[in-house]
Amino acid sequence: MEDVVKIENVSITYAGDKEPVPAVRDIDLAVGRERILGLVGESGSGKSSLVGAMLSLLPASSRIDGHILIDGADLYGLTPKERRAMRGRTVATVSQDPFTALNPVVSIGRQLLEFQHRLAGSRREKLENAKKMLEQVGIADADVRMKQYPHQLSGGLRQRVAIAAALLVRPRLLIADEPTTALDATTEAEVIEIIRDMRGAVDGSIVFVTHDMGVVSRLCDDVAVMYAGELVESGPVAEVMERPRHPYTAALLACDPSRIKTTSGDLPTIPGTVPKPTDLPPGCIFSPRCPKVFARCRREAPALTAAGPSRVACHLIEEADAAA
Amino acid sequence: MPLLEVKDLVVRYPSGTIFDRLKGAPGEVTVLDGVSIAVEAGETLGLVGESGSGKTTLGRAIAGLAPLSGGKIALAGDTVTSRRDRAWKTLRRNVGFMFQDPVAALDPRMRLSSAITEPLAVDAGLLHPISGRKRRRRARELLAEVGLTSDFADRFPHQVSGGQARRVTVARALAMRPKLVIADEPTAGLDLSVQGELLNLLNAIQAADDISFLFITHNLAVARHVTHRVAVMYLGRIVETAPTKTLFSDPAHPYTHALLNAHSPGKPATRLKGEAPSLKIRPTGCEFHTRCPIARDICRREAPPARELGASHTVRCHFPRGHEDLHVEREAKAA
Amino acid sequence: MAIAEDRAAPPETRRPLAESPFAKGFQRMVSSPQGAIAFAVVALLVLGAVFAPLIAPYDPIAIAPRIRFEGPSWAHLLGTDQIGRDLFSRVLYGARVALKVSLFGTTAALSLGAMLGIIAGLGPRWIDSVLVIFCDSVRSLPMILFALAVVAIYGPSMNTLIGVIAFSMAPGYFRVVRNQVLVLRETDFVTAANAMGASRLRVALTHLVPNLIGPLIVLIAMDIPAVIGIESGLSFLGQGIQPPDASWGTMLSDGYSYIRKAPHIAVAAGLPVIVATVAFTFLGEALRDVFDPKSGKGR
Ligand SMILES: Nc1ncnc2c1ncn2[C@@H]1O[C@H](COP(=O)(O)OP(=O)(O)OP(=O)(O)O)[C@@H](O)[C@H]1O
Ligand SMILES: Nc1ncnc2c1ncn2[C@@H]1O[C@H](COP(=O)(O)OP(=O)(O)OP(=O)(O)O)[C@@H](O)[C@H]1O
Ligand code: SF4
Ligand SMILES: [Mg+2]
Ligand SMILES: [Mg+2]
Repeated sequence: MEDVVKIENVSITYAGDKEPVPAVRDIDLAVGRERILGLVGESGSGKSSLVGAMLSLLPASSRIDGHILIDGADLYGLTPKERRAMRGRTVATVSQDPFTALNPVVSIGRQLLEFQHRLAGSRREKLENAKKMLEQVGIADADVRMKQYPHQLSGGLRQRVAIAAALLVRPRLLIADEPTTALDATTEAEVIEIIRDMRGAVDGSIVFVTHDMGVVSRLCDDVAVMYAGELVESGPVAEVMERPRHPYTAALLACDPSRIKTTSGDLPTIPGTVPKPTDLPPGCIFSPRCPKVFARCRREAPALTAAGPSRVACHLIEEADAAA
Repeated sequence: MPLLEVKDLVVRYPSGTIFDRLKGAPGEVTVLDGVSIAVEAGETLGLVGESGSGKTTLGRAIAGLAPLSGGKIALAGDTVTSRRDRAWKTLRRNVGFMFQDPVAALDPRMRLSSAITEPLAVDAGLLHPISGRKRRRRARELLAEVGLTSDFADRFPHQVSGGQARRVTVARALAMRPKLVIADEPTAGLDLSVQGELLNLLNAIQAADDISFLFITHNLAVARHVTHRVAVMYLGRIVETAPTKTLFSDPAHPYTHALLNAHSPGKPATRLKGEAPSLKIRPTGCEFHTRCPIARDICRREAPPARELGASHTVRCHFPRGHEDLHVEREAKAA
Repeated sequence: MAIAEDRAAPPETRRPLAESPFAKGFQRMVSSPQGAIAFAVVALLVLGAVFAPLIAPYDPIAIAPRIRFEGPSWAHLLGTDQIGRDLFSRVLYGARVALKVSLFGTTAALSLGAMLGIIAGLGPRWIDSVLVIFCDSVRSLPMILFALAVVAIYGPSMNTLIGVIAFSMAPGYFRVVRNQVLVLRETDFVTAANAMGASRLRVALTHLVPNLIGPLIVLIAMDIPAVIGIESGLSFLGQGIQPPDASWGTMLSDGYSYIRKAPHIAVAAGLPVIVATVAFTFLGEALRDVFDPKSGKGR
């Protein structure tokens, strides 16, 4: 299986006010062809930074180490111009906020036309494409919508238009950064279904950033769990959800109220707070909050180790292997 | 008698330009169209529904932040029917409000000690200011109640995390010892572990002080855990109210059914067809008929009345799920 | 147990609380070289103006016919003018005038503009419309013609100058304040105050004014050069500060008359105008960084 995206030892360091901020550290991850990868983790864990690096959208003052290969091309070995071209054609994005992604004073049709400016074809053909794409994402009266402006559409409709816009260029990689956070349950379900239906249109893969474990299990094939800038566990969705191996993944799943069958007033929490990237604990980053912590965790950072079909960064895995 | 009783509440906002109106478009939108809810003392009522259905507006109306175009709001004996009513003052004192975005709800240039005790200062009035010492002491007590140390008193909002800011707004909502707290999406944007902490905190406060909550949320899983009853809104109306357990096990309204289905993992979602209609052009009859999978002719003609299905289970639908016979009965009676 | 501990000392937000926002703001302002230099220059100007009577080596209006048109020397740092007055002393006294006019002028303009702005922003729609139309018409008056007309009626004096400046600059502040208030009144924290039943006056005092002060201070710093320009301009035209009183404008006017014979007079008068303009502009920019709420978040 050929990977559409390969992330090799990627670290991202922001310049920061006083000191450098190592927001993402040493990530190794691949996204297979025609697979949907869910990227989950608490706020500040570096999800947006990582996808920002894939989109080459990070501030100029940040430093990116390691390699990001998209379709075999090393993103940061390219010239800035080639990178920009790649962003317009090979990689497309749907952002969290359907209110800011679209220009409020330009009609939907015009905007969809402009998204295609790198493609060949006449204006007529492009408009036709845009209309077809709107229909594909489930917008009934595409002709009418093309003449409307973003504020005349509801949140769900707007997010669908944004998805249509992203898919118009037939990207190899679609990156969606929390596209359903602002939507209600029915609308969210719609958008997720559209993304699932649209897999065919992306003849590549999708990276879906979210807070929500439920969304991951409904939509994704693979999942990568980040914590405080590091990858702690990755693997097929069913595997990770059923058999979380990293204590953090397990704790996160335990906190999800939709997975707790009996209702009681007392919900589980993870004691403590996420460490700041500028003030990281020694050893395993999760050790200050980990219920299973032992001496080695505080000394030594665990490496990502294969465990069944998953990969996990936790000393427990090695210990278990050694015991076996 | 319930603590809070909202009866036939109507909220209209002016809309459109003069030119639109000249063209014959309606000059107002009816955001809430005859909403009735009741919250008992010590109860948490969940408010769920489509985005744009008017959940926030209902919360704001109860807090006196939206124009009342009709109906009445009664809280523990104080009844208001218009914005000018004198009873607002006592009503406001008994209602705390938590905004969806806790950081935005705190003045960036105000120390947390002042922010938390602002309700007290407002209540005392400009002419009888409370001394700074007293406010700080009260602020520290309130901070302790929500599990924050007193050194937070001197901080500014940007110096605390999102979860902590949320606790601060809880503290402020509690400052006047209200009988009812309206929480607008209090867990939106929170990480799962922090969300649990906040919900546990609200629970503890309720247990200690017998406070009622009106809990507005998109998150049905959260609603299932922390509410006693749930009201479901669609297009400015309450379409179903039921005890939480009943609602999740036997939703009667087709919209509730779709909403719950959209969320339950595993099952294929029953997708609603089309878009929610615009508030300006309400559908005739039942407002859900344009998207309802089981709509029949009568739905397009006649608005369904609210009916009791069981203990505090009310629904507005001609053909409530599991009670389809009701309609037949009614027709028989009519005939 | 673990939870209680974490709540007691959340690591990510622990900050030294001794630092007052002023100390911090000041630190940030002088943290850039431009900001530090601008602050130093403005401080020198202000000190020079305040202590002019102590510092100035000579009486600024004492005539000394024997030392006319003298170039800079140790005795007369900037030289003397056409009637032998010490230019350095005159520059110091001129700074007094310039700063006095800008301080009183902008303060008056600001108070007027801010008050009307808050009324327009919080009050009923029609008051807002009336005030906006009125202020826009004032703004559309050509400033210098307006000033000349007022001077023609009331006669040239420092008070007239301050009045003219206050009246003509107030609409600018009005605009800024009104627009800011329209934004602020829709913010959640003002809505929250409304939900508590806060009166408009309380909202204005506790929420609007503190949030307006920052941007307004920046604006004032940026506007002071313009005011100095107006003062010098009017005085240059003979419609502002009247000779023999020292003002940078009257000095420029002298320098202009003798530009061929004694260019150092024009230089001595022009230099402070330029230095003050540049310094206040940079100070304004440094202040803008300080008051930018985003820069406070340390992201
Ligand atoms: N421009 C920047 N300069 C300095 N630090 C930054 C910058 N952008 C992000 N960070 C820091 O990097 C870390 C990762 O941020 P990022 O936005 O990638 O997290 P995230 O996982 O997307 O969080 P969320 O779920 O809240 O969107 C955070 O600690 C953040 O404060
Ligand atoms: N001040 C106003 N003027 C005009 N229309 C308004 C105003 N405030 C709200 N509305 C409209 O009222 C409707 C209901 O809004 P409301 O915010 O109450 O919905 P909601 O159920 O809270 O939605 P969400 O779940 O997205 O927060 C929306 O269509 C909105 O556009
Ligand atoms: S009344 Fe009719 S249209 Fe409305 S929800 Fe019930 S079945 Fe559907
Ligand atoms: Mg993010
Ligand atoms: Mg809302």
